[in-house]
Amino acid sequence: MSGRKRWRDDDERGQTELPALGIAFLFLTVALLMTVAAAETGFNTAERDAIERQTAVSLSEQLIDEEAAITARQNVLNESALSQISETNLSEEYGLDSEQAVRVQVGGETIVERGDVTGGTTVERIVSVESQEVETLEPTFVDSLSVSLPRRTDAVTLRLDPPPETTIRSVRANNETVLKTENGLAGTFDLSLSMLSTTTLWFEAAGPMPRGSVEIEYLATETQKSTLTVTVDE
Amino acid sequence: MSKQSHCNHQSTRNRGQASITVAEAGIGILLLLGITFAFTLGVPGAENTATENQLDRYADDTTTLLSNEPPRHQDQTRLAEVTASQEAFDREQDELADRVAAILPDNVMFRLETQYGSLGYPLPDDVTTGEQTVLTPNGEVHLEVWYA
Amino acid sequence: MTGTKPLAALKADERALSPVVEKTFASGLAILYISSMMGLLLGGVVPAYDSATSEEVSERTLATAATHVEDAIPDTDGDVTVSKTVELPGSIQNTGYRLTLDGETLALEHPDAAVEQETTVALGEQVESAAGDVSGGTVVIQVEGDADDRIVRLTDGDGR
Repeated sequence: MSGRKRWRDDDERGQTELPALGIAFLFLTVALLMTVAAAETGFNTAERDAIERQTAVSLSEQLIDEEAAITARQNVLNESALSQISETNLSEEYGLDSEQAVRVQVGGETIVERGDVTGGTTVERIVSVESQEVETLEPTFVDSLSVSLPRRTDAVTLRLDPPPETTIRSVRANNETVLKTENGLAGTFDLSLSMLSTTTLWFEAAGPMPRGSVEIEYLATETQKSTLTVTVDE
Repeated sequence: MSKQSHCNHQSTRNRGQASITVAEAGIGILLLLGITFAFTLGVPGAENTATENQLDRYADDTTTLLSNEPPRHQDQTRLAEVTASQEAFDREQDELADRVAAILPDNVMFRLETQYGSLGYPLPDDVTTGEQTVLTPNGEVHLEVWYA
Repeated sequence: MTGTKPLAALKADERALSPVVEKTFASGLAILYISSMMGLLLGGVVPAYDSATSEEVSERTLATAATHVEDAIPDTDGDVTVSKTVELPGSIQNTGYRLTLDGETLALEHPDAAVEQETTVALGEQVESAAGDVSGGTVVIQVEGDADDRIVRLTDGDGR
């Protein structure tokens, strides 16, 4: 009798085991699917877009190099030369694949864009943008025969047109004599100066020097900090 | 099947019907969840490498711009001026700090070290930094930058 | 409890399945489940991730190599000799690969076509590259020559 009862206990447990097995399999499958989904997310997080970044950095290095078409010096862009980059020479000169979409911006403004750039990798470089303007100065000599140029410049065109009774004997730029003669200077002279400090021109002359005797034309460069942004989307 | 003894039946009930299969399945699920967490939490994000790379570029550009800027007084460039001597450093450091802050974007902090002292912000412990070292005729200048 | 003859008990049984058969059935189902899941994973999911990972590794390897080649080229004038060693992964997806430098293109060659990548290396105007290829692992980048005519070359490093 009791033997039968023992079988009965197992009997009741045994019958419920199969559905429990089925439910267990279901839970395990769900957990497995979650794990695969997490693996997919993990993989996407680990994506580095290494080639995109390398292309963007390489292009930005080429663009700010001192030998580049758009720069005046290392990391200094020449504003008037910014139009030198175009879509065509992105492939030839800068060596980009035709499949890569590229966008180059200076200070937020796009100067060249090729293809469809949506996202991708962006590299920002700090640059200065230099714009040059020729300015003319006709000094009135009050206290001394000297004039200080308001900007540092390295190229000056000097026009000397003194009145007939005046002879200009020499011209000094800071401490260096740049023009000197005994007979009197007159005419147009191109001077090359140093950019390291502002220049004061000293004139040594015998006689009155009214306004108009000296006309100075110099190249004033203005620099402004900006950023060069290169975006590459593959 | 109709022969049931209430005594034994009740003791069966009190023992509990938890099937071993459910317990096994529970352990299996815990194992899979552990692996899932490893995938979601254990993967390093892309930010650090990209950030460091970008910060290195900023530091490189800043030192290049500083190296090529005309100095305030005598020496060849601004950076050479600041490494010339201790008095030169003390005299120039505020201006140089302003200049570096002006060059770098607003959200980037910096620390510049020379053999005569440092200027800028104190370096926090756990941030990603970019750096660049420049050699001037008078010594070395080391610039470190990080996002605020 | 008190010993009853098991045979008699067995004969009187009216259950649907005996526990032995039950357990056998259950373990059979479990084995079937495990093997089918393993089959699905190993057949579909794992190879897909394997190749995706290999692509990522090859992309990073190529980008690292290209960056190092660009960095190795010096700006100075005069005659230079530069030798830079780069540690790259020895193999991708358990197979060796080769790096080829040809003109301005650095290419990674691999038996699996999906893993192959190419990128452009900015050498500058005065620098030329000696065409050649190296196997993965340790790679030495050599730059030689004077300012007008520098040549960059890849060679196998020591070791593997």
